[in-house]
Amino acid sequence: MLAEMHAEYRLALPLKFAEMESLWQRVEAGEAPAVLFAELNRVVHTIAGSAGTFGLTAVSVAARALEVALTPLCGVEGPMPAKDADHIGSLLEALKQSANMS
Amino acid sequence: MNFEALRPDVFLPHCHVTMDPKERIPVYPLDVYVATDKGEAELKGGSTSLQPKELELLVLADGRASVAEITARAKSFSGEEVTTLLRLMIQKGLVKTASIADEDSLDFTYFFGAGKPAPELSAKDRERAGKEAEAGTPALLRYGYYVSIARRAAQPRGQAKNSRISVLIIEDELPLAKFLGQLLGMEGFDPRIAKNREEIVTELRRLPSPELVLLDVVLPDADGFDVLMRMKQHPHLKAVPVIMLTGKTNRESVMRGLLGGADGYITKPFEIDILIKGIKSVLGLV
Repeated sequence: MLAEMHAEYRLALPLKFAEMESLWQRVEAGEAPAVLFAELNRVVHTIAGSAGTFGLTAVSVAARALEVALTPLCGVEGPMPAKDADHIGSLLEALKQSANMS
Repeated sequence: MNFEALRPDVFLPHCHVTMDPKERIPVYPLDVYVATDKGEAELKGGSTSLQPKELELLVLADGRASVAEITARAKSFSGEEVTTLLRLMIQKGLVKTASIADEDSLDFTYFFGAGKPAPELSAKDRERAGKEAEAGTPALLRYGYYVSIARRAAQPRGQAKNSRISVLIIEDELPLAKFLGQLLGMEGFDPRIAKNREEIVTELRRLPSPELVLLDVVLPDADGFDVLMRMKQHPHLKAVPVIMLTGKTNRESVMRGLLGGADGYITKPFEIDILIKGIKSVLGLV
């Protein structure tokens, strides 16, 4: 049963990544960052918890790193400093890549 | 001061450790304690018989906070109680004084004693310490505080043949909720799932009431700690055991759950065996 659900979860991951990507693009476009960060953080938090349970340890670790970086930004209004944007962007990329390592 | 109330058999009526007051283990306000391997096993083994206050102290004994700091953070007991309980826990082998190796903090100020401040850092040292702190803090958060705490039920539970215990799974991540449902079904439970506030309310109102709730914290339109609080204030639902099953992996969240009345706190990702053991432990099935 676990193997079957593991495969099902892995198949659903691209959808979750697309959701993250869409939220991130809206943040970069300057659209309501506080609300979007909170939503992005929730999606990433969920992946951090569930991926490890389905055996995707690398995905879980990468998601946790992104969650740690996003948490202090939740609730912050106004434009994001370029340094933070680069950092979040690279962690997002690392998270997407981690799916190939698990 | 009522010293009678601090006697271990009064303070912890179920504790079987005896203590001779003449041979008191010294515990000082600046001492720092950390869980031993035995203490860690209580936090991660999925079944514990420790009293709520012992569990609280075990979570707070993080190898960084001094006894004085723990007393300030502890919600449910006084400084004298913290000291008394620490002595008992040392005797039971649950905590030990923290060595430098146990520390994951750069703050060693307690080591030098009160009233003797550490010398000022040079600008170069300050810069280096700042970089170390920047590098270390996210690492601490990233690795998180992973526990599998589940209190043993006070009484073993008798179960009628062919009866299935109803378990409400409050989880918004659909694949995980589905997985938990299948897993619990295979283990002989009767699982129900709620993904959001509306479904939670519906399921908690539906009779017969669930006999156990697995409760996620981060939900799209609800907060698991809030759900826990409301359940524990409800005349009928307050008796239903709750295990928090969550990705919130920090000591404060664990404390919040346990102090809020949860019977267990299991962090995600979790191991299936530990989860099942925790559920059975809380229900009095083991």
